[in-house]
Amino acid sequence: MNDNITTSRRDLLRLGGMSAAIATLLAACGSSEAGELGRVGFGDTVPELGPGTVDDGVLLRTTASVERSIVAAYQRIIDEGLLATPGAAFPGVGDLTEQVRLLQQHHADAAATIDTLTTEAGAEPWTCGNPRFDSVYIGAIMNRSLAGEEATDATPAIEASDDVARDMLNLVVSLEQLSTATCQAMVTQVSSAAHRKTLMTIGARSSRQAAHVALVMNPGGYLPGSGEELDDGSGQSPIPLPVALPAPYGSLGAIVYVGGRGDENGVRQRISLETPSLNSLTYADDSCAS
Amino acid sequence: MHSDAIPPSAASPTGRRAVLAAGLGVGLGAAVTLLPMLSGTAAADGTSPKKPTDDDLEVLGVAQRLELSLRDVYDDAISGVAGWTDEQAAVMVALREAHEEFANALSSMLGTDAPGKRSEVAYAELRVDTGGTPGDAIVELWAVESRATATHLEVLGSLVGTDGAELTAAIITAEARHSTALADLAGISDPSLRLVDEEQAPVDATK
Repeated sequence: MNDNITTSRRDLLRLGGMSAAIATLLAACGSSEAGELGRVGFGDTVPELGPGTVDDGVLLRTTASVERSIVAAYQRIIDEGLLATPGAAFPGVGDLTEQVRLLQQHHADAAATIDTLTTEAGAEPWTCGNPRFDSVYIGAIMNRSLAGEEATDATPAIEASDDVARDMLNLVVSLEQLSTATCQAMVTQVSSAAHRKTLMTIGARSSRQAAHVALVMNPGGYLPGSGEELDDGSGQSPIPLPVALPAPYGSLGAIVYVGGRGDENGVRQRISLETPSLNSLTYADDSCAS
Repeated sequence: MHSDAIPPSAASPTGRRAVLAAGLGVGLGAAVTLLPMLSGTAAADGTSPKKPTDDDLEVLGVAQRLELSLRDVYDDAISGVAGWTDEQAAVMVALREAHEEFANALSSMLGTDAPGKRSEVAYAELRVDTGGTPGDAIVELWAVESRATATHLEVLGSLVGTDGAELTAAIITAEARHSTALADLAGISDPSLRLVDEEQAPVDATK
């Protein structure tokens, strides 16, 4: 009987090990092409995005879009009288509506000037605001200040701001700084020296407007001191006060806005406004209609 | 007292390019050779170099001369004018330091090409009257800062390299604010002066 058994226990183990080694070798040498994923259902095909070329035309269109976003924001402030009555934070500033209208005119003129440069660069002018900035910066700030936040599963509702005029003034000074920084940031990106000069002529004016508003909000606030803040003693986040000469050089760092009513922990809305980047550029394929 | 009291000469702007060309036109040699560079007509192509070109170095040298002139103008005003308040003195010193800092930054970029000295022409033109009150001096410096901004804008319009353009733009942003801060310090309430609706003429700092 045992004559037919030619494989010992040790042979079996050896054979098993060899099989595993061969399988590993075959797997390593084999092709691993899985092919494309199968489609289920009848959905639309995935649209192919354009190349996203960034040239002078795109950069200029984007700068104009930022200026127009500011124009629109100021128009809402004017239309809704958001700076007509001073709030508790800045009781002595008076009705600033006309001042905002003056600042707005500069940005409208700036957008028109940039449109001319855009056309010269062979691109189509951008005639509306920057969609991303309108949404994540201006819209978010105005919504929180004017309407508060609805409750979610995890957080209670937040009421509208305790001082809308204060928030709008902070928004104005932030937008003036954003206009300045945008023009300054574009200087190293556009290729025409003449365009750089025009952009910084606009940037210089916006920079002065930022200083002007800072001094309206913070009289005598020329130089940065030891953290000037507006603390109303309510336990909510203090709000930094702007100064006329915040730094020796023009800064391209994030512009911090703090405002709105604090949440359940007293934390107010805090948004860092940054100069246009890849996801906020207005590319050649983009249009105001889309 | 000083509200909206801008000297007639300072408040009557002249065409930037015209004054610059005129200022440079009276000079000889280097001033003439710099004319095309400062005329704001130079244009970079799609591949702007990062480092300053040879022409850029000359133009940035003019910018450094201007900044050193401004530093000395502030030094004279701070030491020569009597009666500064603490607030006024703090702003004067801060602006003086800023101009020296700009000159140092330009020096770092220019290396051995840095002139390292002020423009005597610009210094003579920008000096403020030290016999008046601090308020008078501040009003004069309001115009000086506007002229500095205008000059740097001309410089920017002639630069090809992006390093020099980046630094010049950062200086412009800061110097533009100087005029507004000085207008406020002088008690000027007119928005057209606080925001410098009409930029003052550039200054010839080529020599």
